[in-house]
Amino acid sequence: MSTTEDKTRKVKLVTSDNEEFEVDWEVATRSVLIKHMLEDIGESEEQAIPLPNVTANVLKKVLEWCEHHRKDPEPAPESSDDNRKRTLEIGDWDAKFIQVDQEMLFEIILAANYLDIKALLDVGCKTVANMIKGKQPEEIRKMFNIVNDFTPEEEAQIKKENEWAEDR
Amino acid sequence: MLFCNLPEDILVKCFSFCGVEDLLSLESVCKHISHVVSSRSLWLHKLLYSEIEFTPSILPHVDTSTISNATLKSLVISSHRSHRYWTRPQDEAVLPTRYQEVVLPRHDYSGPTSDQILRGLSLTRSPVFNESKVDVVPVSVPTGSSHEYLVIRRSPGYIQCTEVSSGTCIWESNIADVPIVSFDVDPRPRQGSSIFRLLTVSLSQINSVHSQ
Repeated sequence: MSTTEDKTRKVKLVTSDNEEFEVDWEVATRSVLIKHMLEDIGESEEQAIPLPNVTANVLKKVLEWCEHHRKDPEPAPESSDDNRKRTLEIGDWDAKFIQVDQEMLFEIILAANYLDIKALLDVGCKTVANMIKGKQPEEIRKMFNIVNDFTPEEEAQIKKENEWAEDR
Repeated sequence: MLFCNLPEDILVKCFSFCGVEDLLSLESVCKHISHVVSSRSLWLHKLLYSEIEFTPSILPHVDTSTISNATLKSLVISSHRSHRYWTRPQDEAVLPTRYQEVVLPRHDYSGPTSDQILRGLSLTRSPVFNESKVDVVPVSVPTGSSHEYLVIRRSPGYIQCTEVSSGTCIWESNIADVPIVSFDVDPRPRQGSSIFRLLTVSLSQINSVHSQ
């Protein structure tokens, strides 16, 4: 529960590369991790929150997302959300926001996972799923720079196993 | 940071948004990805929470935790496949039904009842009665209780339409044609009470529908 005091409160975050960010309480607490940390440190408002797993350039991007989504309603509890149908739909703003290079995309996903920002993690994962969508194995390898470590025999075996799932 | 170096739980999360075809493509990308794709949670989720049309048949008393990973996967794939076949037109797939309308001339009839006829009548196409199960459906004329035609069906998938008064076979389904699984009669008068319609339903390939 946020109080009026919380709304005006500022939060200091320190990245792994020692950069300090000062953001609104409402923005920072999009991250469940930060929210819990703030609850833990309680009164000592001046204390900066260390985020040793996030670099400044990634945090900057993540905070941009949090800023835009600061008024979003609290996410639904994990259990009920998991049962819902999973769609690939991403909001317009999010789609634009996530137009970054692969490196940054994966960093955002990792940061969202670490900071526990479920909605942002979903945006990242859906983006990855969208990149995979409709591609052949070779295209996926090329896209993600993956080396095929199957022997031709193993590959043939998988193909055979999945044959009945294909059209012809 | 490479894609494959993402933690496994994150890869599973990404793949949870992928369709079944994409999962199968991912499976042959490399060993690590293939291992992640075999994750139980992925297939269980696909099985339990996919769109209603995809929902495969699991008996209600079956505990999903007792289903093996391989079975989960095959259940998902087979339901997905059936859904695709049922909903995609112009495919090689079997269409559920084929309809055929037979228009027969309509005559006045004042002969014996269908039972009496069946019991010893010399129908021109009598072998029908000697072989297997026969359904006899007298076609009612809307006015009165008289019958003018008998629709005779013998398995497998063959029907014959016989005029009761003369005992003549006036129409039969083509033996070379696809089996007729059901039929219905529309005895309402059409075109000045001169015909009625017989509707047959068959399983069929789509190309034979075109040839009708």
